[in-house]
Amino acid sequence: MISPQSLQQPLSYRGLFPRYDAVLISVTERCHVGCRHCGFYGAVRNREATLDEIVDWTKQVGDYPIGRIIFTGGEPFERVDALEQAIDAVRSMDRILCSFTSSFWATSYPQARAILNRLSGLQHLFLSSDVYHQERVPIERVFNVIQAAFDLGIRDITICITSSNEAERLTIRQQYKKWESMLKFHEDRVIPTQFLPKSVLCNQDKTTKISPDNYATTCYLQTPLINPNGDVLACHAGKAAAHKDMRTSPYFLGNLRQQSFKDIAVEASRRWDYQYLRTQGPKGVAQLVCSNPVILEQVGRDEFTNACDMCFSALRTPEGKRSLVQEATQPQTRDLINIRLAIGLREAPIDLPS
Amino acid sequence: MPLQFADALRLAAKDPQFAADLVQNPQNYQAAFNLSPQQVNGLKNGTINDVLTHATGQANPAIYFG
Repeated sequence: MISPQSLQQPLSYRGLFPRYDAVLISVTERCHVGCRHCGFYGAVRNREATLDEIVDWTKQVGDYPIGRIIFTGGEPFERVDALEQAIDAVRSMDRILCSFTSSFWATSYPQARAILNRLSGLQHLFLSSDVYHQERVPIERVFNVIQAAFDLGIRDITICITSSNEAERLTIRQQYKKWESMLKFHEDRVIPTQFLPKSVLCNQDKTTKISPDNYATTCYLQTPLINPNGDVLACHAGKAAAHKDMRTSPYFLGNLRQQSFKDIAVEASRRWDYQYLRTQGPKGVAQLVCSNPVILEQVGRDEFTNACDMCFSALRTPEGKRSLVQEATQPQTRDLINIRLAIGLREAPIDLPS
Repeated sequence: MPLQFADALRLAAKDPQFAADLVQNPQNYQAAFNLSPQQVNGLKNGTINDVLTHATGQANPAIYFG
């Protein structure tokens, strides 16, 4: 039942500024760890931002009404200098500052502590830890980071486990038994891209046959990504731009070397295709796919590991892109987008023709 | 110029009290905002609960191949 109270969240009217949970800033695409399940596997990964750009982009995100900034990569700790300066630039802005890492750099407890000390202001760590990372990074290094972080007052630590199957997931969860009550866990399936080696792909647990009922209307589309070349994309799926230019993809929002973050966000807020994705989420994409069999023909499969796998696979096809644009022109779809924008997100609806 | 659906939504975005009433009793606003039967249904239909999922702002920050 909807009550006025349930709509009176502590959310203010946003106007043309999309409400984002966080913004991901990819400090670098580099990562020398080289896990065999990584989405970057097989990509060139040669795009870099200058130090000044990273600081400038982080400040721009800090100026945007948003609660959380998450540094990612590649491996952001490959550029600790950039991470340090970016954090310095926004430390006073009252944003929750977070970073992903594989923990490769924490060769000892003192080393972990010394590096984290340089990053004063960091409040939340997302530690990638799974059988694939641990083939390349001893798990003791993750433990070093956890201990050093707790000792330095960084209390929010999320262990990010990506697995192909249940056995892999349990193997890693087992390793964190003693920390269980102090850590958060995020568990997800490997996205089986065409670039991954057979050794990863052949171990996949059951995948899910596509149906809108299997997906939600919310997802990581409330967390845009900035790539090291300045491209802003709708979500973390934009990391795939390391494989292939995504500027013609519906996920592409703009480039920070040409426009400010605020201008990109405001322009994107008036785009029906983008707002379809934001308001209808993976459920909406599954509806598109299920109403147009050509999309699945172009995808080449009808089962997926998770919502991101399904959404990205569908929208990278020509028919998927075309269907999205077409659906977003329908008057009833536009009404639904605007209802969710205005009432759910408290953002300005896109103007409708009178 | 008569008020339109977009006007109702603009108002709803700024006024949670009005928004709650609009989604619960859209028929009451049909004449005032010139709402079509489809728009009344759109406001009423069950997926409005998804709107509230958005409104909580509790989605996890994006994770994957970090």
